[in-house]
Amino acid sequence: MADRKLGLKEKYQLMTRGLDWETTYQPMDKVFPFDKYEGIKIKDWSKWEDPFRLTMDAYWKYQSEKERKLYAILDSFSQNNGQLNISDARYMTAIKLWAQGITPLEYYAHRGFCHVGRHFRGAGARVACQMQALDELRHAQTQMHAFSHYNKYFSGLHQAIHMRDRAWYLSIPKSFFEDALTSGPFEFVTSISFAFEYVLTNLLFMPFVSGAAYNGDMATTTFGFSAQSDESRHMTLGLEVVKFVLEQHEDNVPIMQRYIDKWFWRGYRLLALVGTMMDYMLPKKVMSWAEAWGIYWEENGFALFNDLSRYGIRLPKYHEIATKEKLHITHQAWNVFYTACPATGFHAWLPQPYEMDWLSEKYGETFDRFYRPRYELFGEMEKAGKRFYTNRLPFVCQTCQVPDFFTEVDNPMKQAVRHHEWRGMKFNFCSDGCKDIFVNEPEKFCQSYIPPQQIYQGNAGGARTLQEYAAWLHCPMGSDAGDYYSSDDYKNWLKWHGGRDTSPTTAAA
Amino acid sequence: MSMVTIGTYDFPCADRVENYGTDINIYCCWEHHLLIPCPAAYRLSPEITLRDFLEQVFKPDHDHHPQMLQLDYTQLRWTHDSQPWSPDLAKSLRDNGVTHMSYLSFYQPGLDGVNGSGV
Repeated sequence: MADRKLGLKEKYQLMTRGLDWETTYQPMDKVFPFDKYEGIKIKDWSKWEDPFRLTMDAYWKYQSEKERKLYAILDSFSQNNGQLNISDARYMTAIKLWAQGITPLEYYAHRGFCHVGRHFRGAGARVACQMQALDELRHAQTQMHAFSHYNKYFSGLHQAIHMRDRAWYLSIPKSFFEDALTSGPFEFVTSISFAFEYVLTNLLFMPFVSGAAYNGDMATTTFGFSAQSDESRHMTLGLEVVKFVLEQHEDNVPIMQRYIDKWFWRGYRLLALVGTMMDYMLPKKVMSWAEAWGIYWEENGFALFNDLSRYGIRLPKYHEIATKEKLHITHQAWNVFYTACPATGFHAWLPQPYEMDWLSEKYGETFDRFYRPRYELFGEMEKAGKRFYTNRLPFVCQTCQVPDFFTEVDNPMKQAVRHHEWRGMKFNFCSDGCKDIFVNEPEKFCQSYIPPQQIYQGNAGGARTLQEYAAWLHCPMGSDAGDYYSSDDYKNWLKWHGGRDTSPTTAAA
Repeated sequence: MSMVTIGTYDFPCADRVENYGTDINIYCCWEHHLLIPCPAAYRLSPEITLRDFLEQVFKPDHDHHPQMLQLDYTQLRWTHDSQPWSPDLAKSLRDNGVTHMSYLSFYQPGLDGVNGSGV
């Protein structure tokens, strides 16, 4: 037969269907041991609609083109000392938090998608997950490359992996992903592809990349654009997975609803860190956390769940709590960052006058009544030479591992806390959402590796105080930790700008 | 509800009391004083009296707070795991029924933070 060049459609069909077969030497259940135990029933994998029909050669071609463009821009950024053009060195706290907290998640996502890319019975789903696994590895690498230039000039970027396993605030993203990775394959894709990448990703990616552009960080803006077309593929996969599973069997609905409830809440708690970036870490502001929540959740999220209601899926449990909290959580989180920054790998500071005005404008009475008084008091303490740092480990939620800075939704003066007893032991939580997750899976969450508890048990290099802990973290005060205005970053920044503080005096870009 | 798993899944709790020697871990919150951004965690001997805990541990931690001097132990309304509680300050944590991972909080009526703002 004469050689015939295959069309893209045929190539894709052969890769995702032609390479698949029913095994005979071993039963299929032994070859795919993980895709039934969750109770999800798939009657017909051939009904899987591939969300993107990419062949491997097309995939390599697109990705290598993007890489070439990205690295050309990164090279020119470093040759032109692009780090000097960011709005203010305070902006670097956003980059540090991303490099320390989010980039390792890209690598975790790579591992997770490698796993499900092997263990789904349907070949179409496997191929989609394998491609996403490659994307995630690429994202981890490009982010590290983009940030490595900043590492030459700013502190806190020197040991991301060492810090990931030791920093208390990084146990929040770490435990989030380890929970997903140790779930069944359907829960993994629901958690990462649907709840995180489809429902909540715009709240993570959009503010970060726009924030980079507003603050003159072309390196980050560029890798953001380079990842964007991958992200839209990932979102499509997330929605396809959920619709496919729901269409396969009605018994799948309650299981998927529980996954959606759990991972909406876990994702939302993780995003408190991102909201703090938008409201406090970006010297030039993009939009407030409350505005972003309104657009990306209250408008877009509601529309999505309206579409899903025909499958019997309702809005995630406690979504109304998340919406009420939008006026509070970023201020509460920054209070923790401000007071606990000696034991972190980034700097914090009191908002400047133009930022206080911006926060008043965006949050109105909530900010002026509950949060402005804290900053004013901290300001007085700073003036008196008594900059306040906390010297005691915090109570951390057993499920989300966020230090419990949350208040009751109807009373912002009242500390929020929930309790549960299991097998004779007490467990404490920040919210009903986190308590419910524990009650559903106590065997898993009783193992939470919670930093303050581990420090007290002697598992942080024997550290007993926050100062000893900071040394074990390899983040000493002044260089990597503590207040921005007494940091090396600030001193260097002034030096590079002829002694001039370049901080913006207005929030607008 | 129990977890759905592929096999036996039984692991010890990470923070079981045996990991603390003869001590216990407790939490304590001063209500309406959110300048202290989170309730704090303490590793303590269960034999310490509640008064000594307040005097020797809690107060030095929070001596930056402008309202600390107004704290009056006779006025405090306590909760233990969010239930109303009337402890004897002269007795030990153990004798007051405080156990590993207990969550204590107290509130002094009228003391609502600087300018009543909850901080």
